[in-house]
Amino acid sequence: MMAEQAVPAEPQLAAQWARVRGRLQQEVGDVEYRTWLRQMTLVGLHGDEITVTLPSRFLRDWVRSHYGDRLSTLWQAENRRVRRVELRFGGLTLVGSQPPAEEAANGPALAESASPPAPVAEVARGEVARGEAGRGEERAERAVDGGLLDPRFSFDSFVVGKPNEFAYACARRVADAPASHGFNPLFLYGGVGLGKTHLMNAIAWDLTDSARPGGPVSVAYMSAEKFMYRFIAAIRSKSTMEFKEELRSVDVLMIDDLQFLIGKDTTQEEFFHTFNALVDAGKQIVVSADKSPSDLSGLEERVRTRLGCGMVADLHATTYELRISILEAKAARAGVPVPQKVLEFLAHKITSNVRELEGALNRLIAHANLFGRAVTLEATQEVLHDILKAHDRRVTIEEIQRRVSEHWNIRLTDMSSARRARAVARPRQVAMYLAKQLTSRSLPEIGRKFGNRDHTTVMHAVSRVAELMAVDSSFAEDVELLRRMLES
Amino acid sequence: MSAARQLPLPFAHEPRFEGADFLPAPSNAEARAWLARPGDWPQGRLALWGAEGCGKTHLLHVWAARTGATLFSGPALRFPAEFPRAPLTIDDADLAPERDLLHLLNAAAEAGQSVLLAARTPPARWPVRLPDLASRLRAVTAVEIRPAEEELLRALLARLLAERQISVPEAVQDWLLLRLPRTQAAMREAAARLDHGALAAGRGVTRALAAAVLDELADQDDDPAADGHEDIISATAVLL
Amino acid sequence: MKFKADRATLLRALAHVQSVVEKRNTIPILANVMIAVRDGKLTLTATDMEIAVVEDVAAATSRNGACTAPASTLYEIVRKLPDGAEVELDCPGGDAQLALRAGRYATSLVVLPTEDFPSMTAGTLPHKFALPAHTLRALIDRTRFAISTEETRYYLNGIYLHAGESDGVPVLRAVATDGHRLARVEEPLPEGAASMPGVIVPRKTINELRKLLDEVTSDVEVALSDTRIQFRVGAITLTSKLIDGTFPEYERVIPRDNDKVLRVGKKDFSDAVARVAAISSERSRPVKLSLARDLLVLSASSPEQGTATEELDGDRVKYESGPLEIGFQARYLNDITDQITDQVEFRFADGAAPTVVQDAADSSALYVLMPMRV
Repeated sequence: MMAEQAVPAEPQLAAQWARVRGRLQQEVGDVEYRTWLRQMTLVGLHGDEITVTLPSRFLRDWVRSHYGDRLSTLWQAENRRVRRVELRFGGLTLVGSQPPAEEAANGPALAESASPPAPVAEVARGEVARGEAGRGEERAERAVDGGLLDPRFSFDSFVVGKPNEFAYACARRVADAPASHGFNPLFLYGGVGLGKTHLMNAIAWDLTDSARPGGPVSVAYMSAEKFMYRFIAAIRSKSTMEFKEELRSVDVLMIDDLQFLIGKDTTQEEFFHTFNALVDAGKQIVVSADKSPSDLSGLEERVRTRLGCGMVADLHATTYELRISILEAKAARAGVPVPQKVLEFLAHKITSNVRELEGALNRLIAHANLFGRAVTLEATQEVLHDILKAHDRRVTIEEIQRRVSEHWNIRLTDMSSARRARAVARPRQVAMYLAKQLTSRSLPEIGRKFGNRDHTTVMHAVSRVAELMAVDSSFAEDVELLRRMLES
Repeated sequence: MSAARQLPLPFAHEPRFEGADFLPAPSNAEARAWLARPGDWPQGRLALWGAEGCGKTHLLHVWAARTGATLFSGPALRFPAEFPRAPLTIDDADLAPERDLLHLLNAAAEAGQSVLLAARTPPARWPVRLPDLASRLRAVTAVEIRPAEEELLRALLARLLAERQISVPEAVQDWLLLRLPRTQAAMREAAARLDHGALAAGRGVTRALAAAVLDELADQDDDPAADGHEDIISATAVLL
Repeated sequence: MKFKADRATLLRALAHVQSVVEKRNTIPILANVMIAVRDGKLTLTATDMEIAVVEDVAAATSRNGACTAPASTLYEIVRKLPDGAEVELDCPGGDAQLALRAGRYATSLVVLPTEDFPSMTAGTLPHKFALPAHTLRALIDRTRFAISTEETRYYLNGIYLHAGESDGVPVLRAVATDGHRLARVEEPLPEGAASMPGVIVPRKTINELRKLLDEVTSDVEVALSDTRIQFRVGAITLTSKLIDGTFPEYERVIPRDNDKVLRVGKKDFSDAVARVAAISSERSRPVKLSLARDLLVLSASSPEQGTATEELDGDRVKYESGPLEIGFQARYLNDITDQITDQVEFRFADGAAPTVVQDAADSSALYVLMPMRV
């Protein structure tokens, strides 16, 4: 995006300014122009002085020292009245000229996106601003008492397999016929990221669907933290009665991640009272937690007993087959082609849980969409390197020297020796090149590690290796192989 | 020769984070592209990571200025009394108390607000104990700000000196650039020491002062592992 | 352009304007003064592109017009004319020279075209206030010594003038620092100055202004914007660019909790400093202050000469805190004590921390001095 220039008082001046900028852009090239000069704003001509502002002192100083003379010369060529160009910091207001708001706010920092930045919506509470890599699966948003339902989490999008089929069946049953005997309360439990929240949302979606046979029912669904937050807020505003009545008036109460209530005695107590009141009134309760009721140590015995007296269903760790099914379903919905190899790779590498598995796939798809690149195995390893590798290796110059010597079968001492035979000199140059690429050491320091050579020798080696790599593909492969070995 | 040295007044220098001053370069292009499109972040979450001084905090401020986001600092993070009504940024998010971070991530998701995290390492490698948090963090899109190019370091040094309002001959800057470790943190440290040294001496920045600063830095940097940030490796993050 | 003026009047005006003109200027026109008669009124103008001085001069004018002539030559000629002479200047315009006649003396000077004379536009100056000349003198005199002379620290090469508050009372503050010491002086805030931005007035402007202030007793009118400041002193208007920089957040280096208080007579102290410092010719050698209860020992040493000490005891110093040793450059101590009339109050923290110095009887000026690491 080019900075729109405010129109100075004289239209002629604006035209001259456009020509000055155009010439300057031609002279310095697009990249330099965008980096340094794009944000110049013409203020006007006063006496013999043209005033131009830049949005920061640094840019002002940089432009002054690097382009100041050219600007003066170009202006003098355009307008004989101009003697001097005054570069100033800020949008000082002489002739109501302001840089466009967005440019001023973003500067070059965020403006260069692959496509124009999406306007950041006023995301008021209750609006779903989450980007889901797979668009098109969004549905109209729906709020229940407690907050918004997650549009991604429906029964349809839940991939069923051996580890979760029982929990899935129980959830469906509760959604179809709440408060059936033996299913109240429904207690879903399992490790993190295995789909508890997904099933909870799916139940709530179904129950509140206006097309539901028998009509929608009223649902309060919130996380334990949210329950706690609202309860404490009610105490503060002395409206606990309203809070209680509100919760006791619903048909179905759903609480996610109950384990977070442990240790919060007052809140736990309140939850228990609400729980009892609802069960006594024949209402459905659905609760999720990371452990079974009997393993939730810290909860009072009577609470544990009541939680476990309905249906308790667990979600097991995923199997390879389930992971593949999940990935295939997810990729199909996203509408981005993902090679089977990539899905298998992910299913092998990311075994911890569904959230991380889906997270990884979402990242690949979002990356592919944002940069317009295909999803490949190489891209996957690159994009996900932070989770696939425990840490990025910090390579030392000594290691580089050792690897390179081994590769070309020369003595390690030759890395710092004075020998200039090509068989020794070339590997030494490659090692210098790799030291420059893979470490943050300064060139003189790299030189020191190679037998106290001068930094100009290192510079020469770096450019020589780059030249050779450009013309000799087998040499380039050697260097790339070494780099990969060092980095892995 | 006098052994006594005049001490300078301890003027503080606050770094400025104006959008116009951020230096775009290929090493930060990917991060900028993501920041420009918060609507495309999976789950509305993004993490920027990279070495000390690579521009994470600056980008956080630029993004926050643009989106009206609330800025949090990880170590000081406490789950707020109110649910988020604006996007959130958390700097040094790896140092945030785990429970507060987890609740804030959940609350932001529920409120439909984007969350931008920054740290020296990717979230998947933070040493997190809370399983719920760990699994959420490993699902966050992490974008690396890569080691700086030469041109970026050159411009950064110039910018840092300009921020401190000291003029340093370009020849001295070039001389330093060639000899300093090629990291943003080294540029920052050098600029601070040049400023302090010149103020104490009551003179402009000369080649001799630059050489003295370089010596001071070299004395500090004898440990070969000290040229960047320490990797905090999370045992739970090891997948391979 | 043609007029007659009294020699003394013209000389005084030329003295004002020619002091602005850069002595070693490579641009010839900047060595000139512009002499203009418009609507029958004579004005002289000189500028170095940073500062412009315009002075209205009483004269009997007979033709409008303007020319520019070498300022220092003109000044020297007028200076050498006999007292009481009537001087006539006549410049018909075009390429013609400027003719000067006084009694039987006559000369002519080469002129340069007035179109080439740089105009210094002040632009709009939205902030205006007036203050007595002696107030402005007080602000300048007690801060000027601390202005940095280190050219590359351009943002310290002037006096920072801004509106502030001191114990809830609005004040106009002048602050100067060279990074080793800092001077802050405040005076009641003049009406109209509350909204002014903080501005850094360049050293040369301060010096030119200070010369003018000796000649007046009336109020000085000040007008300023973010980039320009203008002082109207009697018939003279001095317009100057401001330093385009950010003054450091000086408040943060003024210690609040220094609790080791020394009181000493200004004359006793500065004489003792001068005597012990005399042992060394080196300007930046420290004078060491060693303090114990009601005792101050000043000392200095030089590798060639040895050591000099002087004791000031309970009759002359008041100090009730624990022992302390601290060293300062002698000239820095003198610069500050020069501003103080009778009793000096030092407030120390320790030997490496900023020290506060004030006149015990006047809190309007505050000085911060950094010690030397001895």
